[in-house]
Amino acid sequence: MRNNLYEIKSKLHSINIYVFKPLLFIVVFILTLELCARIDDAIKYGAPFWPAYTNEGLRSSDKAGFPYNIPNARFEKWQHNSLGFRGPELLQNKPADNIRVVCLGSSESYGLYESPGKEWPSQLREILPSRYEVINASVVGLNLSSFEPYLKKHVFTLKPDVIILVINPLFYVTNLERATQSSKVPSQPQQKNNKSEPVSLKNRVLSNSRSIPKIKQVLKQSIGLHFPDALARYQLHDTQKQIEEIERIRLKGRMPLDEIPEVYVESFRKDLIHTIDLIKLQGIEVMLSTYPSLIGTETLTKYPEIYLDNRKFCIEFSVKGILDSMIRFNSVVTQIAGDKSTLLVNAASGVPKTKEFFADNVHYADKGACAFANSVGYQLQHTPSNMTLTKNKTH
Amino acid sequence: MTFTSLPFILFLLTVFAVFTVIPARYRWIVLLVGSYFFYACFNAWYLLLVLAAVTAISNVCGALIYKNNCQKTKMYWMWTGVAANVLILVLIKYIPFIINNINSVLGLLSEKYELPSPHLLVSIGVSYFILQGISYLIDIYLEILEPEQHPGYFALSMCFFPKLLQGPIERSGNLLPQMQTYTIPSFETIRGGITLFLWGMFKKVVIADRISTYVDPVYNDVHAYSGLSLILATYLFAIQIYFDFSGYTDMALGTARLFNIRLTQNFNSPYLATSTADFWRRWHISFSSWILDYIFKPIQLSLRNWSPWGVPSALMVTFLISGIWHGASWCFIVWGGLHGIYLSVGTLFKKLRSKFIKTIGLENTRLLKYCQIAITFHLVCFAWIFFRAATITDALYVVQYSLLGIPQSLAAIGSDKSKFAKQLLMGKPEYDFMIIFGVVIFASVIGLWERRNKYPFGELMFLTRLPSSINGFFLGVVVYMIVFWGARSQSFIYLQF
Repeated sequence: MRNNLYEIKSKLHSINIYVFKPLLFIVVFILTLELCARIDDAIKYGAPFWPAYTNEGLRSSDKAGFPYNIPNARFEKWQHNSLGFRGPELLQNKPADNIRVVCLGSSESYGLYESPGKEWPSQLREILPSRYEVINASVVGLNLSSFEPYLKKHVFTLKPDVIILVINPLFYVTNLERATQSSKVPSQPQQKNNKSEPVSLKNRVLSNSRSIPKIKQVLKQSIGLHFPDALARYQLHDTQKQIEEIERIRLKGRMPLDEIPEVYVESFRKDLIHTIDLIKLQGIEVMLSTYPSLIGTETLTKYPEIYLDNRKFCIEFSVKGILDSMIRFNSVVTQIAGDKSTLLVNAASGVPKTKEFFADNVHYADKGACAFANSVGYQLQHTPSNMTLTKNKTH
Repeated sequence: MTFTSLPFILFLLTVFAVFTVIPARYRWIVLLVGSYFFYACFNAWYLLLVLAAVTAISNVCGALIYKNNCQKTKMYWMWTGVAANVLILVLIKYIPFIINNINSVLGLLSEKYELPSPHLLVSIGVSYFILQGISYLIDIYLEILEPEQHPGYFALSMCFFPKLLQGPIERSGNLLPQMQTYTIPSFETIRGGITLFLWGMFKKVVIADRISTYVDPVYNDVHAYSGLSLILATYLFAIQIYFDFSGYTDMALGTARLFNIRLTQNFNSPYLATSTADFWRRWHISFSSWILDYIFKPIQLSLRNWSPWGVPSALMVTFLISGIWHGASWCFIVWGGLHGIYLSVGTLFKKLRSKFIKTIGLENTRLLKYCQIAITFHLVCFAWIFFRAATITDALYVVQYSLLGIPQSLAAIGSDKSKFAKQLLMGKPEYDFMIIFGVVIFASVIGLWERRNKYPFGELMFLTRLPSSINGFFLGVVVYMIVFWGARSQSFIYLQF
């Protein structure tokens, strides 16, 4: 009897040592990581402690579906002022002697990968003399076809002197292609049964956790640093598989385009001219920029992953097609700048096509943003139009 | 492959997994192969040859010393082994320094004479295992130790990867007996090892590497700074080097613990030392005890008739050698010389000092202890200037303009506080500095808490004795800070020696 009791006691002791204690340790360890992540977010970014914290709070879209930045929103390093722009607070009414420069583009101008304060409009602000007031009015997802309503609602009210337009050609053409395709397909009747599927516990934990995405990111960075080739090979393989899947769903047997259709180029030309006219009508100077990216004939073999990554968002075009659209649209921008006598920055050749300058296909690293800002800053200060601007001011 | 890198973690996990799976009699082979592989990862093939040569020389000479009964022959083999080891060290580490200095002297005589200067070779870890080899030979000669019969065990004791790069400089008497048996460590030992490893990594990446972002810009361009900026950088360097090296040691000790091997503790709160002699009993203990046993004591013995100058002279020579050991540069020699002077002066004026303390009535008081700690800390910090500066000119500039620049710094505070603060913080946000301040306090509190416990100092045993939940919480905080607050890609300071 005593022996039995002793055996049970020792078994319980073993279970306690080898099962419960390690289990408790692991649970507390994981919970502590999550707690630290939440405290860290609260201290660094003023993030709420309990509610979900995602970048969805940064942007919204109006009734027509056009995106805009939510004023005073903040997510991690991205912070908006009271007017919904990335950058310092500013007065709605421009100070008397200032030259107000508005930078308008999508994610590459809004700033994704740059360190805080290193997106190109911020760096431009640092370069230019203090009388230049630089406003970053860019919105992630904003493209040429949505410029008009956005300009009318959010930009013209600021009474800028110059608007710098940075247009992502791929983004434009992808939207156009999808719009064309969707118009051919008869719209599906909306499913009445809108019953949302139950979210699994795993997904709920994953979507609410703050520590897991952070750990994933650090791991990815670390693997990229120490095993760059292995990571690149894996990513290439993974992207290839994703593309095959997207092609299967979206293209439905169609071949991706090797050349940009002329109709798209014309549409782009028309939209851009319309936007320039609209801006000029307000008495505002326009500065156009060719679109810098890692995409180019010289990088085709050097960064195959960049092209594949691009295809995920631009599945309608083959690698050749992507390259073609970049070249064609940039030449259209240059041509229109000449025709319309607008300022032009040839940033496509001003920012070197290397990974030192680009964090991914079209988004800049700090250095790339600096190169872009330098090109724009130089042009703003050294063209005759700039003199006109100053003259206008003094008059 | 430094201890804080992902490849090392993967390497460690692999070696540990194989170590636990393989039969006990083959475990030494796993560690030996693992250690040589680890060393080979530094992409300097000759380092492997050097390691193998030092191991072979020490092993053969050790056996010959032991076999011979004639004292003269024993001494002959001991000196042969020591000289061969020292020669290797000189060839690998000091030839460019020696030739550059000869060229400087020749240049004074004529521009025609100049010896070709060879490139400085990578010598990671060489000084550490050579000192171990020398101590092995001397210990056998002094009959403190019997030579290891198994060449594999001996080779492993020389190259065991946790201590290969930066020590601790193990005495064979401590390590070899542990190399005979390879048992799988208990759950508690593994937990202790992991805790110690993570704590070391915390010290390194969260504290030392963060501080280096303030120290490096100043010391890499000292002429651009003056006054309080230089003073702050020097104090910060004192903190950085401690957390850098003690962090490494903790990681080495924790790693070794995973293989059931206990390495020597290298630190014992050095900045709480009440004298420079006390400092050297607490700082880089394995090295200071080595130079005490194998350099200072023999010199002191030979100079015993020189009273009162025998001990100070022995100390000066010992610390000059210590300076040279740290690096082939005049800065390290001056640094060693300064410590030699501190200790010599301390020895010469010991009686006078005691008398003075008695006269002013501070004997055995807390105030005296605090004053001694403060004075020692500042003396050590002053010497660190020479340790950290790139050249003697830079070091002298720091010494001169740290003091001369103070009025200018104070005037700057008066005129524009925010600009001054920005300059002092190297343009980094204030919270970054607050994080450093916070983590240093956190680490100090843990250190002081540990001192109150009866367990061996520096092993964080008290943490592993805590309930699992508290331990999990502590490690959760530490791991979070390592992963997300840690600065990266900084090499260890002592790796260069």
